[in-house]
Amino acid sequence: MSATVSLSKSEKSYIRTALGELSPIRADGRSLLDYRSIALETGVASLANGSARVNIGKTAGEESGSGTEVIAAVKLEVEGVLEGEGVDGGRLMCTVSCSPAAYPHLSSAALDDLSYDMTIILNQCLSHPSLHPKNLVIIPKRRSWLLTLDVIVLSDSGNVYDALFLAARSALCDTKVPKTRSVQYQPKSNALGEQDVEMSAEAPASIFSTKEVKSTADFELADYWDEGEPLDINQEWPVCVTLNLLSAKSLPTYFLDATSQEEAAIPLRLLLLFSFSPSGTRLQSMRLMGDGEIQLESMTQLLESGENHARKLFQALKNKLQEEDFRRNQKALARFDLR
Amino acid sequence: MSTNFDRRRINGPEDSFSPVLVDDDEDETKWRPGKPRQSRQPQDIRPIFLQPGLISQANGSAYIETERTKIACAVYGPRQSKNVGYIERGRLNVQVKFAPFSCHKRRAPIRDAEDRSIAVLIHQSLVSSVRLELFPKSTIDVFLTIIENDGIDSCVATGTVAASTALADAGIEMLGLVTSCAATLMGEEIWLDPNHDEATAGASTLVLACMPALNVVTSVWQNGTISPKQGLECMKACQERCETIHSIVAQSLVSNFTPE
Amino acid sequence: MAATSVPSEEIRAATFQRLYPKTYLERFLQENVRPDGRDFLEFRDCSINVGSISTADGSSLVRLGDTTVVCGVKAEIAEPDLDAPEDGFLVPNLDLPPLCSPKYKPGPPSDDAQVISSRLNEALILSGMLPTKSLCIQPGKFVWVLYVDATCINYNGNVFDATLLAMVAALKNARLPKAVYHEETNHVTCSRKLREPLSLSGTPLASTFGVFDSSHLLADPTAFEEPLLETTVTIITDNGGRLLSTSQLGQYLPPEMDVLSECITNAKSRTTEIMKHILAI
Repeated sequence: MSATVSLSKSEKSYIRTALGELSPIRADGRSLLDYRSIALETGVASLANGSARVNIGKTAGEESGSGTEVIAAVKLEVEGVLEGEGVDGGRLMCTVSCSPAAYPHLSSAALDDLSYDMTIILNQCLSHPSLHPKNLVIIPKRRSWLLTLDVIVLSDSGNVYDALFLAARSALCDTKVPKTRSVQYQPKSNALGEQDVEMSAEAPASIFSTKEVKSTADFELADYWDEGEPLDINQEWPVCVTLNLLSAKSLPTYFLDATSQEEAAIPLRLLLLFSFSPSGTRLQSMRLMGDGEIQLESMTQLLESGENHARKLFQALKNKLQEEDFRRNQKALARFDLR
Repeated sequence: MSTNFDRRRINGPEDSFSPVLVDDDEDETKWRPGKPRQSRQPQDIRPIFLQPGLISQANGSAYIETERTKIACAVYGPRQSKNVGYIERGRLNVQVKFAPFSCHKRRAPIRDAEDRSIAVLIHQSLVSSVRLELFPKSTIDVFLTIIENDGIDSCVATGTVAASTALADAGIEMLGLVTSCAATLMGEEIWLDPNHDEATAGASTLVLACMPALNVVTSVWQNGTISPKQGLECMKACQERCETIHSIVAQSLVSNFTPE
Repeated sequence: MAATSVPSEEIRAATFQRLYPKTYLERFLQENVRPDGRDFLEFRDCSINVGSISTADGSSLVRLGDTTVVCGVKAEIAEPDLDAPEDGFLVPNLDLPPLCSPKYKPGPPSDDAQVISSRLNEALILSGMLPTKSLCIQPGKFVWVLYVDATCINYNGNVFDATLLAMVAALKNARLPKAVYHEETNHVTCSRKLREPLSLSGTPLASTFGVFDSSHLLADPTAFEEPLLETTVTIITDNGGRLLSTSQLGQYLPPEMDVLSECITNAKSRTTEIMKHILAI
């Protein structure tokens, strides 16, 4: 089951027994609901419109290569709606690629399949119409942004889905959509048969604007200190909590943040994606993965506890992102003002 | 669409596109988002036609049709696993293929991500029902061909039912029959077994697979936005309907069975 | 233990068939009957069902005995070739997925699928069933491309005959949306409601025979008989019974038998039979 390690029968049973004890024991000394330490940094790719790097479980003092490490980056591209592949309102596309270094024992075909599967899970959740940002439009019915979110798995020591969505959410929250201004070309009416055209720029919010947007032909980037404005559904990007199910009978027991060894020993996982908007808690995606089954009665409790864990993670991530935002953007703004 | 010249096939022109259809006039009878459901109640499913054993060359097979979703499924095996070392448990291999004419836009005959994502979900629904520990060193191949597609959720649910029926038809030991049902959240209502138009219009879709005989769930797959409470209601509604489907599957298997 | 060591008659017959297929078939032929109870020159029952796939512009399902083939026509629009500005495209392909027989593995088209697809293409072209000029929308600009894709659902021999019949039936069933060319914008729009049938002429139909042991001529071979045949002969005739093509795959025809003329005579009567089915759709 696990993509990273293969364990012998006795190793699996050892891990399973230890986790199933009344006072469960995990190899790294955590309790069932403890996460490993999570490190997050935004703005790691200077050429991207938004990016983040997440590491779960890096041990202090060790260099790179330990823990689960994921990098996500957002690029925005302009698409034509009439002539190109673009759709009115913009598109969001996610791709996950797994580095061969993260899964050295997998064949290239198996690695592709794994990347495919992760891509699909990310894509089905994040590009669902219910999470579509409204400000991917440049000129209605003509041009829009294509938002591509590329995520790279650099190393996997368990709990890769939580890391993927943490990185994805951070990169999307970090994304700035460039400000644009519609531009229009008009033939000079007073010129004598001249073919030359005049360009008139128009600020989108101008109250003096009487021209119809329909006649807009092109756009230009507004000159501004910042790279642009954030996506307008920033707070709704979901976080993922993976519940690794030990027993799914009427009293479900589970643990969080499994290491690769634990994933290999406990095959059944429940992926829950929650978003916490002012309007309430929403479930954005749910998926049972692995060989095993659960009883529907236990889902009530699993969803409830999943929601609690997700809320804590969501809050912690929000604080961290604000901190990161301050570190990078507010300081930059202050510096800009000084000049 | 894109250039996919393949010398192993008869090739058409390099580039072609599907015709742009314009509405001559609005068709009033067509269902549109916001309207109440046509021809059935929200909790009703489409009639199921299920015929096991149609593919004589396979060890087991089933053909399923629920209005516009049409899927053929064949099971081959257990047969020897090739190119792998010793494996203690058998392998369940699920592959899904869309016929080129199964969708509104022609599907060029290349394997794409959608085939695999459906296969992964059907595998998830089935894997815990098959007693794979009885088949060391072997593979059970489950092949599905989607002849007509009326929504991905419907394909996953119907494909699961067809595959489980085909496995039973092949005489492979299972803990129970797996049945599956999809649901979509339309406003505040839960509509079961949505077709493509309904599933795209809904805020969220959910597919649940379970073994009604053992009262356990083998797969849950939900997408879109839904409150946790409504999510649970959807799952309950699906599980209830799965019991109905279970009796349809059991009935079709019994009527197809001829004592030796 | 003793009870299990003596298998039933049926299992013994199946085992014998698997181990000694040739002898198995010979013993049947000695009794002047084939394993499925047919006479040597008898074809299997055939049924045609059209128009059941709503996503295709034309569709058919053909069953020839157990052999089942589904065929769908999808119409798309493309630019014509420069040297043939008025000619549309007809693109027939057969897929033999691993679903239809244990012979086929997942992956790119098998040799069988490649050979049969190109024979189908030849048959459709040389019959002139669908003049490619009739697929023109605007000369030099836009023409129709008809993708005629067939998928075999159950492979029990003689897939070529079944597929050609399925393709012919699907083409007869196909209705193309009425296309309008807009000169000012240089694009084509199609009506959702107005649909027209194709202008078809002629109906190519195939009948396949196999020669076993240089002595027996077997019509419409099954998947069990096919690998045992020395040679197969396919006769393609049109609806009027006129001969369009004969092809022979395999060894030389036995000189002591007048194989070809016997095949042609039988093919003609078979064609008349099948035409009744086609006219009924």
